Amino acid sequence: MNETSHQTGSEVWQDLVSTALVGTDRRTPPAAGEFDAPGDTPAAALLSSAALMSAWRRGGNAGSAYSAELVGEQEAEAEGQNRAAPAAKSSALDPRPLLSTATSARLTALVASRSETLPEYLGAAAKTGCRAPAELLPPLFDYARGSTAVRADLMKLAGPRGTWLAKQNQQWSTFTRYAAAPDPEAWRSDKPHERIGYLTWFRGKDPASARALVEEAWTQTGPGTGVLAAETRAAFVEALAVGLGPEDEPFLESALDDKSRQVRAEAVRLLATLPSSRFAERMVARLHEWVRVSTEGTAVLVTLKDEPLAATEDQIRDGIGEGWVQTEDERRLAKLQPSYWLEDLIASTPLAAWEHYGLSAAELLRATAANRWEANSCHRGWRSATLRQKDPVWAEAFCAVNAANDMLELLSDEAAERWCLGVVASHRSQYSIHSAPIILSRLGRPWPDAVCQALLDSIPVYLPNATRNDVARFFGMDNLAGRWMPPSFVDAVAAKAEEIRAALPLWAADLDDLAGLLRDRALMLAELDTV
Amino acid sequence: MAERWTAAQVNSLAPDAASQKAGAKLGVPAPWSGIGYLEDERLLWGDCKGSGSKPYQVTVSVADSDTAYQCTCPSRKFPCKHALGLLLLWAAGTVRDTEELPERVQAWSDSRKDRAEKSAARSVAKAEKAAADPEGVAKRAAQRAERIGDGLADLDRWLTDQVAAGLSDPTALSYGAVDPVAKRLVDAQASGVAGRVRTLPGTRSAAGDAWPDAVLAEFSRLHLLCQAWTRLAELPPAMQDTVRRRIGISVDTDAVRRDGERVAGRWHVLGSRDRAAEKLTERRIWLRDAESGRLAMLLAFGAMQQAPTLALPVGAVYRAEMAFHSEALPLRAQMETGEVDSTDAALAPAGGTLQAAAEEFAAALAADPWQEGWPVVIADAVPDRTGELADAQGRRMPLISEETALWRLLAVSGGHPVTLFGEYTDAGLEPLTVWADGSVVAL
Repeated sequence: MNETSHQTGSEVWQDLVSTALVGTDRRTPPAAGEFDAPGDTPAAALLSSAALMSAWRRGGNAGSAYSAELVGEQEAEAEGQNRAAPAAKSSALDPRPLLSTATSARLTALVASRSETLPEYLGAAAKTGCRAPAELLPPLFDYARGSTAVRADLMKLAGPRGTWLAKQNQQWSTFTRYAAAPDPEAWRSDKPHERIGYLTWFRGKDPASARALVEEAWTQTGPGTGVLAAETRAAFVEALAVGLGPEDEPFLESALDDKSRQVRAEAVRLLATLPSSRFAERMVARLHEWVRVSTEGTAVLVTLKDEPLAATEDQIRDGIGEGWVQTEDERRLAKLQPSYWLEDLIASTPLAAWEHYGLSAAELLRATAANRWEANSCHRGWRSATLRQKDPVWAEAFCAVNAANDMLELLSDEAAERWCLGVVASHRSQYSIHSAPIILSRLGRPWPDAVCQALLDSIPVYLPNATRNDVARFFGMDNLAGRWMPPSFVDAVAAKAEEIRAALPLWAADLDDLAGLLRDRALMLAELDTV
Repeated sequence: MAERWTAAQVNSLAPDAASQKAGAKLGVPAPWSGIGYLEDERLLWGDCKGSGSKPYQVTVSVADSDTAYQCTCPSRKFPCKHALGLLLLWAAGTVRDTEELPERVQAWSDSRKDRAEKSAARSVAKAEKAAADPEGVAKRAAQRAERIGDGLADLDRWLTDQVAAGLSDPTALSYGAVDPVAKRLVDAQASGVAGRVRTLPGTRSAAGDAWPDAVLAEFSRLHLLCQAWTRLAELPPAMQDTVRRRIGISVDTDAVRRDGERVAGRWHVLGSRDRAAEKLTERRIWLRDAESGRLAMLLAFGAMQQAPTLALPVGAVYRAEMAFHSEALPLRAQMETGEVDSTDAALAPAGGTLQAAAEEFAAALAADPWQEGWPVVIADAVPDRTGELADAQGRRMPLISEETALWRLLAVSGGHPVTLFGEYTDAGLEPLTVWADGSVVAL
């Protein structure tokens, strides 16, 4: 088709459309090129012409509309809008073998049903040294958007293809920070989360060089490079939590002079976990100077020695009186409140400083419960300090009082087992035994063998007259027991079912189901071992 | 000997996403007992423990072109989650081959065979009856042709009236204005045209600013169909059949089996697509003869909440004979005899460029102006995240599909060239199957 007829054809079509809009009663339709349009009426003739021209348009449209020249323009435009990724256009090769067909099929089914066993399975699959089929990555990524815990395993399984794919979609792009080996280009990216992801990974490999990168980024405030946003700088400091050591102290100490509150807050948080830092020494000294700990019988009193203290520059620099509360108004108020002073002081002081008073974490927590406002501040401060300093001893003491998920995560394996056994023991009444699995599932890791045994042992003893509902609740909603018991427990569960079948048929039937679930999980995991 | 299906194939049988999910939950051994599979008969069975005291008894026939399910559960979904779960177990290789059929499975299989024989006998009887009374058949056909002729003349008048008065009137294409026209066409037994008329309001709202172009194009195609009917006898025989089918006169599959053009070959399953049509699920499966390059399209329907029973694994090669329907653009076919030749699904078919695809599509339109799209295989195609495809020559084409399919395509490609099968239309390419890194993925 030559250029002139192309022009004519388009013009004829436009003419046909505009005539049809106005109506042939008001306007005479054009002819379709050289053809006589059949039709008794002008309207019929127009439709005949249009039939010819629309086929011509459709046939020519797709092939000619997208020429190579147009491509160049579009790409330039896309980059202008910051849409195109500056990083590699195609993903690097993954030399690892593909997961077996059976495993891939299992994974497909598990992600389609949003199965509760998916995290466990992903973890096991990631250990095989195989890669996941690429077509499974989009549904798995969508699953991981709602589940932070699986991201590291998923990105390991996904390999370089996964890293590449995650960068293509805004909703998945933060996953790149879990990648096994991020692209070093990421540090030069203009997207903060890519830089943070790289920094976090690099910090795990080589803490000193990673800190050097941050120090370098700090000085890059000249024209052209742009000033780093306070949020980004704070995130850089936060990233140093990985592999934190005494060598990081000088940099963190200097970050206390940063003009951003967010950055200072992160620096304070990290410095408090370095017991030998100058900051920690200053805080411990302040604690002993300001706080009095006395005992009255079994009660422990923690009080401030004097009423509020003038905020010196040194104290403000160390975050005293900042009040780690949320809103601007509350913060302004906080500077005037001794309760917040006390809380800040405790939150930023190494917990070891309390050993000075000869009382254990558990004793302090238990005994100060009935104290005045200071007790409240103490509890909030200790809680912040435990989470910041990831102190397993204090976490266990907290769990004994109130088991929050963030505290449970900090427990050592032994402490977790002790806590679980405590839960089972304290729920041995007919009325509360069914809550035990729900509470245990907060632990977020497989139940220790001793705990599973204790749970099984408690069945006939404490709930002889259980209804079907009681039994179902005991095993928890969503098969909590099936999910968190180790699959190796299948024989013990089956044996228990047989032992009690005659006397407690309801319990036995549910135990059968549990055994079935454990068997499935064992089978699924065994599939992976044979790869 | 046919192989066991893949999990993806099983999932393609699910009537909806909820069933797929529920089926996946049952695709583990725990709730199952008494499961077995007899390869010779392609029969699969098992008992699934449900909430009641009695387990549900499930039986599935997994013959490629004759899939059938039975379950004692009360679900109206078809296949139900139990059948899907059992199929998933089987696909994963968990069900062992057995030599003997349980009694209930044997009984079900027998009754199915019985019914198939009776149905075959009925169609033979029908053909005989028609042969015995040629006058009556001709009379009925003439009556129907007259009704259709009246209906189409009515439609053509409506179309020209609209164009004479001008399409700019916003109420002209409202649902209320279009529906009576479509209803009259249904009464006139021109259901194909009625369906096209019903989509007019949708065509108008979907086209955005270009709605006058879209509406005029569809008007002109309808007008062309009305005109073609009035001059049917003057058209070549194959074009007559195309016009009849577009109008909605259904094809007698027995006649196709008897008289249709037969093409034997090694047919490569290129892709499959399900679309919800009115109260039905319509499945299209495209195949291509490995030697001649001839394309064929199989069409199957599933009633409401049921998946079509025809399920061919994408990527497989069948040594089969196709019976083609008579058409100006012969594409639709029936697979008459066939057995799996190769299940090396990963073998990518030969593909062309976007330029060649555009030319094929234009040629298809020239043969049948009502054709919506054309099946094409593009080699060395690179999709990107802006939803476009580039070929080796640097030409580009928008991709038309759901977001999830586009992400899967992008994931499989990883920015590298892949072989892509899809349907080429003037608006873009709908991707359906992708071959890359020695594997095939249905999108």
